[in-house]
Amino acid sequence: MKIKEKNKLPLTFKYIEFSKSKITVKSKSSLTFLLSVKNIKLNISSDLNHTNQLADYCELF
Amino acid sequence: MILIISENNERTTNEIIRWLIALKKNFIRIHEDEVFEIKSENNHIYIQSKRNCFFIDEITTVWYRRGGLQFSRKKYENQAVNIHMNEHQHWLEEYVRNYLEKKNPINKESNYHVNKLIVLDTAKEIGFDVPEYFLTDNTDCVEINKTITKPLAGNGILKFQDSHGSMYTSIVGKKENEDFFITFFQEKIEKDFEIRSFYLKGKIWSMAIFSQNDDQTKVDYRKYNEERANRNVRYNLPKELEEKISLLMNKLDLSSGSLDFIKSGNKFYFLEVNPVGQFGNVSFYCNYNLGYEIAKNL
Repeated sequence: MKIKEKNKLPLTFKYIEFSKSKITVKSKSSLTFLLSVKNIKLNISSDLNHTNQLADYCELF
Repeated sequence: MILIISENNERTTNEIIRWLIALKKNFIRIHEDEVFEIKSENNHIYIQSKRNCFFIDEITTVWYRRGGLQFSRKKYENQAVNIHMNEHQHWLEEYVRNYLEKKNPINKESNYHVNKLIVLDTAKEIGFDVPEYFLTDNTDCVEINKTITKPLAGNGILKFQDSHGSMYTSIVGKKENEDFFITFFQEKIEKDFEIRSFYLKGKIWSMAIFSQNDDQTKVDYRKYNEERANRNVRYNLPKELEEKISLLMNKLDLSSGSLDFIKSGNKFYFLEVNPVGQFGNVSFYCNYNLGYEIAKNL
């Protein structure tokens, strides 16, 4: 990916490493939705309530 | 009552909160997306958002982790009144922030953004070994393959629509034909290993990171090699270096932060300090239990 700007940028921009964005999950329902889109059947345990845990969980896929 | 100012999804905050619960300490956690109104009752100021409501004089300790206190401001139709009321509300907000920052804080919202250049200048004045650094808009005097460049901004991650870009520390590999925006350059030091230290109110915990034998991590260990991780071990810094760290943190008015060093021969080169950096890895690999140390201090 090339960044084009009219104004000059610091040289650090030439050394940027790009990668695809990770999936971020904001809620249990959005995780359920994501899994259903991917056709993954999974019983989400009730203690998986925190968004960080959900995000970690999602990165497994 | 402990006040924690943090962000949504901030893992370190969750870890410390687990400790606070275990230690039976009461706390209030507020987030960067929470907007407060300043109100008063019986001559006592309290602030209220959709999630939280508390008297500011109930707060005994503050841990500023990340984010910040946001306040809603009333707008007025008459321009002159609006300008006056804007200032009135500004001073009120500043008073609340200032009041809370005096409550035995671990870091403060007002100074968590450190200027890397001022920090390096200060570190030099104190007597740290600091790799030579300079600012320039061309590579005329830059020694190729012997100089690194890194962003001046604290966060080197740019979030684009469908990707994100990371600015790591990079070796300058070639001369540029054109000028660029003023950029930070620093002498590249051949390292024996890196050291990350966590500072909290005069105490220091350090970890040596053996990142130099892996091409992926040897310039910037944050380019983690997940298949073959760097070896991380406990490390004790020399006493005089620890004293300099305390001096630096006092001068910067920081009660907590993560500091990076390079060990090369018998020298310890100071690189930078990050007041709100992650220290979970130092705690985990070295079994320092830093979450407990912070919770104990609150």
